[in-house]
Amino acid sequence: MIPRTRNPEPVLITCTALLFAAAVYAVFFHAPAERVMGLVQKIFYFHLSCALVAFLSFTTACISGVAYLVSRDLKWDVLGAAAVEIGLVFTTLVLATGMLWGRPVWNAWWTWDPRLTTSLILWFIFAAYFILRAAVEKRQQRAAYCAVMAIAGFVDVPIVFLSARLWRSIHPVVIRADGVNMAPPMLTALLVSLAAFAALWGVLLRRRVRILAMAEQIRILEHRLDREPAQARRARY
Amino acid sequence: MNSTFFLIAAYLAIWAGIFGYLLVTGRHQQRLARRLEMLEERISRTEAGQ
Repeated sequence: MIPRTRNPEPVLITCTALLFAAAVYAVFFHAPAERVMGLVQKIFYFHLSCALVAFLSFTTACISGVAYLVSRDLKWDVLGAAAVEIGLVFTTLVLATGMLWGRPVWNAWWTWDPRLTTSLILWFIFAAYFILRAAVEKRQQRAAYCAVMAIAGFVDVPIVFLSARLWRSIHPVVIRADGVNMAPPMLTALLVSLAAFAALWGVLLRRRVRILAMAEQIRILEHRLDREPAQARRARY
Repeated sequence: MNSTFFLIAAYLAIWAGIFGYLLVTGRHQQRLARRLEMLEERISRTEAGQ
């Protein structure tokens, strides 16, 4: 059953909205414009935040996959599916904002750079996750296949992260082994943006898990209602 | 095209994505909550009738 407690979602959404207001202020009024790229560089703060939150989602899906395979508890499957869906939304935003940043800076909407290519592969892997989810009928079997897919798909996450370092790439590298390569006001804007996106991720994950749990509850109740007339008939005879 | 256009377009894409997803999941949640309530009512009526 879904517990009928006081819904904390409005409070969580308000906190997230306040963090986003602070992030917009930090990005547009606190952080200076970059010397070479100018104003368009301000896409970076939300672009990187979306990417890191997408990685967080796929990491959660991978951990849920392992937890499901070990415990066979369907709550891990629900968490994994919710995390993958949110990760896919954020990866789509990363690709869209990346293209809108690349066009004025590289003079191209898209280039087969290692970072861009591995990110696109990541998107396709987790889009296929939902095709697999829709294709398998049996719940336990579907959960097992999806857990394996989430674990296998996660392999691409460190590849995306390291791609600009391992191969020749035109994509900027901000997080280096010796620290973050940017001016302090820019770093503040990035950290506030990251906090806002992390809070949003929490709100979305909570909501998506709740939706999947409700759908499961409905399935159980519908099954119970379908069975009841037959049981009543059997009891009468 | 001016680079400000791309900045505005990128932020619009992000807001549209976030608000669109929040709206879709919010509506889905409301629909499921209504359905769940209806089913629970039906079950309690059935149980009371037996």
